[in-house]
Amino acid sequence: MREKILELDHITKYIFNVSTGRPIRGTDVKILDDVHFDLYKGEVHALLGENGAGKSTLMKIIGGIIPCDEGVMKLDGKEIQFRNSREARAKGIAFVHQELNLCTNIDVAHNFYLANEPTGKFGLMKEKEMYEKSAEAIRALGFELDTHTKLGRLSTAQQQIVEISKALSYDSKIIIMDEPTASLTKKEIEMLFSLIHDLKKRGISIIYISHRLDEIQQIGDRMTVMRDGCYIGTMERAHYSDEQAVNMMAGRVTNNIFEKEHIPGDEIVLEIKDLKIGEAAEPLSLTVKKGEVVGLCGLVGAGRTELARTIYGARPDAGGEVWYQDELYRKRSPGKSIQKGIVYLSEDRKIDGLITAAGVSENLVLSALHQLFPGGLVSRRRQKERVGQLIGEFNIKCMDRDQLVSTLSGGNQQKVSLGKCFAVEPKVLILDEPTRGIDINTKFEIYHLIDQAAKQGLSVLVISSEMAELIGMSDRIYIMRGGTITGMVSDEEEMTQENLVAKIIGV
Amino acid sequence: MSSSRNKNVVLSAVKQNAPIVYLIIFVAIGCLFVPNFGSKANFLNILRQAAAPAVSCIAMTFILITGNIDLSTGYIVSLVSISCGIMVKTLELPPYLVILLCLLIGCAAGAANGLFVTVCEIPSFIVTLGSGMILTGLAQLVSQNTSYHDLPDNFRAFAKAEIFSLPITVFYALLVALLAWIILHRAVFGRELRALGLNAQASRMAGIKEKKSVFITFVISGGLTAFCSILMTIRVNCAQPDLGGSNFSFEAITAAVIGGTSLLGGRVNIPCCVAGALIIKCIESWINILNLNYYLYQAILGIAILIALIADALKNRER
Repeated sequence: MREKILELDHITKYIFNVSTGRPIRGTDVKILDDVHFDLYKGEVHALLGENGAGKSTLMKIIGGIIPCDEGVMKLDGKEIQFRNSREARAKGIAFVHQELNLCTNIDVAHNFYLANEPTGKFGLMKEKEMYEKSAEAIRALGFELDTHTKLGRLSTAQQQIVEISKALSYDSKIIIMDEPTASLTKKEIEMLFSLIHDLKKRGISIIYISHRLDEIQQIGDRMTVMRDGCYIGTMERAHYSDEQAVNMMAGRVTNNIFEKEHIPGDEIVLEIKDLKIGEAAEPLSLTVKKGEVVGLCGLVGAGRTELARTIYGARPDAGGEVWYQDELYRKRSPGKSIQKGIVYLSEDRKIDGLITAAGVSENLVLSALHQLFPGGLVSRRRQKERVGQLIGEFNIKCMDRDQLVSTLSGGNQQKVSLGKCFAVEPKVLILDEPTRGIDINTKFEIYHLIDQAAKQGLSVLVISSEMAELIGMSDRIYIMRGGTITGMVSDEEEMTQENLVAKIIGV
Repeated sequence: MSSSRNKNVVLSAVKQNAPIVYLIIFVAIGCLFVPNFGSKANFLNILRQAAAPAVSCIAMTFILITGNIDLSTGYIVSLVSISCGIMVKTLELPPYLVILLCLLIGCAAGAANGLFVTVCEIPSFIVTLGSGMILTGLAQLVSQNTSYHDLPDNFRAFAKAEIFSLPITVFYALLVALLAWIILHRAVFGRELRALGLNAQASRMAGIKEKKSVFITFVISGGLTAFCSILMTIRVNCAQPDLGGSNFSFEAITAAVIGGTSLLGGRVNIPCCVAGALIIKCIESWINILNLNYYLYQAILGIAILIALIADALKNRER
């Protein structure tokens, strides 16, 4: 039974550009650092870790979606390196993605054979065979689906079954499931679990990524924990405990990474009352005081970004109120927020943060155009003054002021984003992952900038997936789960990684 | 060190204003190889002919800068031209009133396009394709298959005068170019438009009102197109329902793209756009002088826009 089917050793991956897949120049940040992973035949191996721990990256390497930079991967004892996901699939590795990679507007059978259609004479599709064989494959899993139904009409669980049956049709020996239960109901989860048991009996190995510890305990044979791109350890099911898992995920190093200088005031600047970030979400409330740094933590998908954007006015709310400086702030919009002094630093600087095809100067003053040039005409002198000031203040390293932002390093791009926020002289800063994908030096520079801003009386609401940095910067931390705030931590003693991780996951 | 730096500055200036360099090359080639091309009369003729296309090309850049496109300009020209004829000939309205009303018709047509694009969120390509059909139908309907020749002198005086022995239309075009240059290159509004063209999502996040801005560009563009139509109507001295047409829209887009405007939005240079319009008129002049088939002109125009688009695509790879 104990037959090793997959083994990865010393896997290292440097940070890379998501859109091109190429490494980013001038940085050597590792997203995977000397990681070990193995998988036995017919076992369910659960993979645990916080956001950004490197789970998905590791799975992408196994699935052939991205190559690793260093390390060895062995399949059935033979060393192997996939060039693309097609090769991985041919070797029996299938990926069931968190966001299903299926087309909702075509029927089950065509999805089943997507990009792999059986063809007969003249290269035409063998429609009849497609419907029959896909129905057979699904029946083999113990389910009954009409293969003529459009996929969009099925429930998420049923769609998942289609994807899994599709994976099996390639004669897969390993199935990677990335948070398969994220959008399933209890009953559907049970269905999935019984399916997983079935697959195990057939000798198929499963890598199971999840944040739900109770599930992992239920179906995992072994659990591997990752943290900050490193392999932390593997537990047998017999020795597993929630407590130990949380400890391993959070790590022991919770000594303050950063000395705060700011002292929060008493005056409430921003107050959110019973705000609903979506029709189905529970109402939530929070406050931010003058000169205070408030953290917001939660898993990806907990609704942190949605909350930030709802406050900022970039997306509509489903009820509730936002009070700013003792006034009800109605009909919020980004333009109005900036006028009032509320700015938002977006999570993904390349998509909605910066105009990467424009120069540093243009980006820095983008939000502050109306403030800087009330007459409506751009004054080069004023722009030069302000840009010079910001470049100095934020220590932005660029060849000249009109250098294209796309040619800057990630850290400098992030500083330009921050500079853009500060250019409007804000009173409230909403920062969404302000240190994502940047080197450690720049991270500390940014911590310092945020601290100084709070010291000068700015109110800061900061979202971060890095517990240590959140604990280091914040005076209070709100915890979000499932679209609403589920708790708040303000005591120094309670602000530990273990405590926060436990609260985020909801143990 | 400093000389190499100067070299870099010159090089980047040339790169940014490449269409102007091309124009100089085209004129030089014409002067050398095409008989009579270099004559004063021919230059004057080119300028006279280029005034209206330059205005329409600038009108188009206002749309292109945010990444939209207007395929209805040619039909706005038709509708304005025929309305203009009816107003001066049948209704006998005073010239200034006719011009004002014509500009309003243009703005209204642009506003209608803008509303569909911004409020209904329909791609501008399809909106203007449809509205163009409506406008041309409307133009044919009101004209009842007639065109209006011999417009009254007091009306034609608007675009007939000469200053320093140059037609006044050239000065109109220069004035429009100057205003457009101020708006697009020096005003906050232009900066916002460029930002929208480069990254609409980031611009919205930075508080720029996307819909309002796009709507305004359509109105401005419609007004400028109407102005262009008046100049053309007076030049040919005939108000007709087929003055513009789809070729006209295509010419305006070609001139803008040759002038370095990116169809993806965000990249615009008004002096270069004017150069683009002049380049096209230069080519037309060669063909006229050499007595070549007019269809060759259309083919060359097609080749020109393809070359310009390839150049644009290469530039956009950096994005």
